[in-house]
Amino acid sequence: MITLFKAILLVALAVLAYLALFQLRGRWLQRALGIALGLLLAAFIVVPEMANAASQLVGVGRGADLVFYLSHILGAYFAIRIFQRQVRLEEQLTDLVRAISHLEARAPDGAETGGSTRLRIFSTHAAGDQANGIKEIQRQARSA
Amino acid sequence: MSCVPLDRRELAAEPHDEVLANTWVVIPAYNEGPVLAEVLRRVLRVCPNVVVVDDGSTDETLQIAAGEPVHLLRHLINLGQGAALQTGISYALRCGARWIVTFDADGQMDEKEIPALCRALAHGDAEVALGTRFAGQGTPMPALRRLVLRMAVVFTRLTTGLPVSDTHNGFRALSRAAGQRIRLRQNRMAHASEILQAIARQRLRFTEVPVSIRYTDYSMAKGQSLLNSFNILWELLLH
Repeated sequence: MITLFKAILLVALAVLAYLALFQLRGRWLQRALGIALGLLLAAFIVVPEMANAASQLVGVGRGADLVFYLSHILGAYFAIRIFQRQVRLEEQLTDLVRAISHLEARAPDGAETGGSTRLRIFSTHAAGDQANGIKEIQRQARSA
Repeated sequence: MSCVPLDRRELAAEPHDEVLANTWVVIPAYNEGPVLAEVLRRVLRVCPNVVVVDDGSTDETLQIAAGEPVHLLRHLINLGQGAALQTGISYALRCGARWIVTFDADGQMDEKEIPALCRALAHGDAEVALGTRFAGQGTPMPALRRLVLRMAVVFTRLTTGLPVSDTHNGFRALSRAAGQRIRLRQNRMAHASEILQAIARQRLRFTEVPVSIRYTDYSMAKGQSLLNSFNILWELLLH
């Protein structure tokens, strides 16, 4: 029987599944796994006895225990994925900041720089105001 | 991996001008305004090619460096000492550096020891010269710092197999080939361990050169807290 609480859970699950599938466009394996997981969770909500039966099948006691273990594994998986993404973003940001610093390198009088001077965001007056440099890039991008 | 033995007579000799003319000193600087001008003037008296990488300082570091005849690069945001070193090393390589010395901006290091580091590489026996505080007479330092550094040395020997006597000493020299082969991905302080790991992995020939580090009130206040060793371990584990 569908109670009000079960209905709320199912609607929440549907919304989450929609958002996840939207994010996973083009990644078909992950989409298929997501759909399978969503259907499994929906089945557990509608027929809780299924979770109990499944947990006894794999030997972990109650259905709640099975859901608990699965959610922990999933949580850890997503945490690792987010961490990997953060590391990648940090590396990209480092490369970007480094490239700009080389483009804007200032050599002593008469010496050649190891970069070029196509960008003009380097300003000794902007020291200490990191936002200034970024605003200047945005301004140049708009006027280009 | 064996350490190339030092010829102390060679280190004591004055290096040929050509060596220093092709040596680039990379100095990462983050909020070093109070001491930077003096440090740069001292280094420039020894070596004409100095690269300062201002790592997004919020004080007058950039203006002070701009007043000296140095190559000046600026990180728009603060990334960390490892990232600043890699920026400076890449830049020096693009400028044709044959030898690269890494030097701190806080005045702890003695610029007169730069030639000894370069001399250790100039004959081509070693590709990396690591400054060590624990050879020869040694550097006077607080007992707790000495203990933590000793533990770091044991950790480094266990993890890399390198017979080093010091670790996390930022005073070192790289040949051009070593500079091209070592790519620092650790943006913050774990880069020192990363360099040693790269030496071990890529089987680079290295040597150790005794250096003296001056622990001034300024550098002790500015430098790494001993608790930061836990952060370094954490960074090494995560990357």
